[in-house]
Amino acid sequence: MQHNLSLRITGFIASLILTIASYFIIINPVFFNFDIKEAAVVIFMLALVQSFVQLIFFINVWKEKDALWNLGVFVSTISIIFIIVFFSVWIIDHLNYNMR
Amino acid sequence: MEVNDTKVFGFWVYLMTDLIIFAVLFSCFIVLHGNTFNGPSAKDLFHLPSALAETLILLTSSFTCSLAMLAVHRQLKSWAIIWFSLTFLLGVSFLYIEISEFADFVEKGASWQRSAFLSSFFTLVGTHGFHITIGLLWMIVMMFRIALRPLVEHSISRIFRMALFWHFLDFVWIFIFTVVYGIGYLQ
Repeated sequence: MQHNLSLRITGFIASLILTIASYFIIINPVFFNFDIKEAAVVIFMLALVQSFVQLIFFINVWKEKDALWNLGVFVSTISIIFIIVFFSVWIIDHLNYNMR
Repeated sequence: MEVNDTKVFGFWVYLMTDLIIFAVLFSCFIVLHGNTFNGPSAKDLFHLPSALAETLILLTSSFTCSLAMLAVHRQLKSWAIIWFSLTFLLGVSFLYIEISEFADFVEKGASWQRSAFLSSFFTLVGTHGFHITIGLLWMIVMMFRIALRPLVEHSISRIFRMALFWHFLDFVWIFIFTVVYGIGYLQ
């Protein structure tokens, strides 16, 4: 995996396709029959797929001897980030709603 | 090998804490992105083609960086330097687009002092740009290292960590493109 050229090229092409797809959804959501909320959800999903492409094809910390440690830190960081982002947005959104 | 694995693990832990910094700045931006204080909004300011150009440049630089790492693993010094120089040039052009975009905003009166939206925007994107600058400096040092020193195990591990940092910045940028430029532009 670490020394494989064709995997890098696959990852590169996949990331280009995902970026260009989300670009066209952003500039013309009507063409794809999305309203603004749906378009936002779709491009965020594309970004998640894109981030997985980056993690799998380019960020090579999953093949070492202690790869499980790397994965463990990654998963716990993602859960911390979920808590920070999701709950701050949630709380502030409700405060905003109640104080209007 | 064991020692180098531990070093990669330590660097990985650093990257993850850095990711938390970005997450905090992201949530700050998401909370404040509507507070424009009657100033320009995201839709008025953002020039989406240049954001796309920045994204494509960074994705390509991530790819060339991985090619450079392949060359490093195969002990092909000159190829490694060629690919790292290309990565470096792409990184510089990314920074150039970003800074000219910032200068354009400030010229239009949309500096970080204008509104909470712009403060959070400049903080988030500026922090990423600062990381890119550090990454570029680090890349210069590593290119000299490749040119002057033999590519032994611990040397490769150092270069690998620099490449990891570069891929990480690309990873963060994907979310800046989507959340800041994309969703900002949609509204």
